[in-house]
Amino acid sequence: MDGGRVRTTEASVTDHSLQDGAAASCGAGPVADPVRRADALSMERFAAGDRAAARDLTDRFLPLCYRLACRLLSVQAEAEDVAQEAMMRLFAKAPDWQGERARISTWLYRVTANLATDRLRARPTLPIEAADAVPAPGPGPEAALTDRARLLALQAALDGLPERQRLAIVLSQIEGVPQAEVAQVMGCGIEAVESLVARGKKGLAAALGPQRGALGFGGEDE
Amino acid sequence: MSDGDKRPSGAEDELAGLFALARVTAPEPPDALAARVLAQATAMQGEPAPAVRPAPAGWGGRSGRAGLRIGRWVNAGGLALAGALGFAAGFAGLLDAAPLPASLFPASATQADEVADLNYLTDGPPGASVLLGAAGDTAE
Repeated sequence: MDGGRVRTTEASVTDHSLQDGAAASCGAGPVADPVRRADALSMERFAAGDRAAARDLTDRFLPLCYRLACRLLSVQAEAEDVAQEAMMRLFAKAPDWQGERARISTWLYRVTANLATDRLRARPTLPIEAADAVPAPGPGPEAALTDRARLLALQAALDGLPERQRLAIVLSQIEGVPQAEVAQVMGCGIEAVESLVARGKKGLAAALGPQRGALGFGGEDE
Repeated sequence: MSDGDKRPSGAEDELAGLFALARVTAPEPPDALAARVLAQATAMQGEPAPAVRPAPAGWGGRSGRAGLRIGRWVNAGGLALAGALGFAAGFAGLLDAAPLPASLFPASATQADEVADLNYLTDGPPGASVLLGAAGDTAE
């Protein structure tokens, strides 16, 4: 835990470094990535005033920012603010966007994570009842109740992790981002990401352990 | 398999299940947020450049061009008039100006250097002695 806490200072990596060359060293081939090419084209069209590009970028990337902000902040209003700010920064970057440097998603994950980290550091301890960014699960009353309880427990356990462990877990385990991209987002190596994920999982297991019975997980272990 | 081996793998599975649950119930951005972001995005793009509107044809077009032509002549005429007035005013000023007293101009540069004392300042143009004060008076 302490190791993760110390590493939190690394979260303040500037939002621009991915576009200023840092990503070029650890990403996939600079020109071959079709995603980057498509991203660059979208940004170019946006910068040229194409309204359809604005809608396309919003539709594709706002959910990404919002989901990550919700996972990191747990409070819907704050997550909305952070997601909106991240998108504004993306749009402002459009005229200078260098497609070979990074994917939009990678850049946005980092910006969103940094904005969320700033929020977390600025606010006092979050009261449990304030966490409202956990969505309601699907239909089926009993299953929904259990799922809701599990999601809330998971979110509370995530909130208890050090920032970088939480970010590594959210990106790689929940958002399904490849570890190489997580490493880019976090400005570290893949081994460091693996270590953060492993420690994060241990922390989650420790936090959730006492609730296993209540959450419907093998209560016989208690 | 010992209990020590069993427990972590069980916790691992449970965590994997929780992660999967979180994935499928991902929060979606509210419509209001999406609308806000889109509005700001289009605002950042600025207003679309207005289409170039052709000059109205017919009488309006002709009158407009005639107006432009007249405007050019008015501008040129105004400049010429201002120039002529400037010349006239300059010449009139030179002719009416009173000649300066000859005492202000020394006959030669050497004469000016030979002035013996500072009293010449008090003998200069009217008002000079008042401004500088009479050195002799203050000494007395």
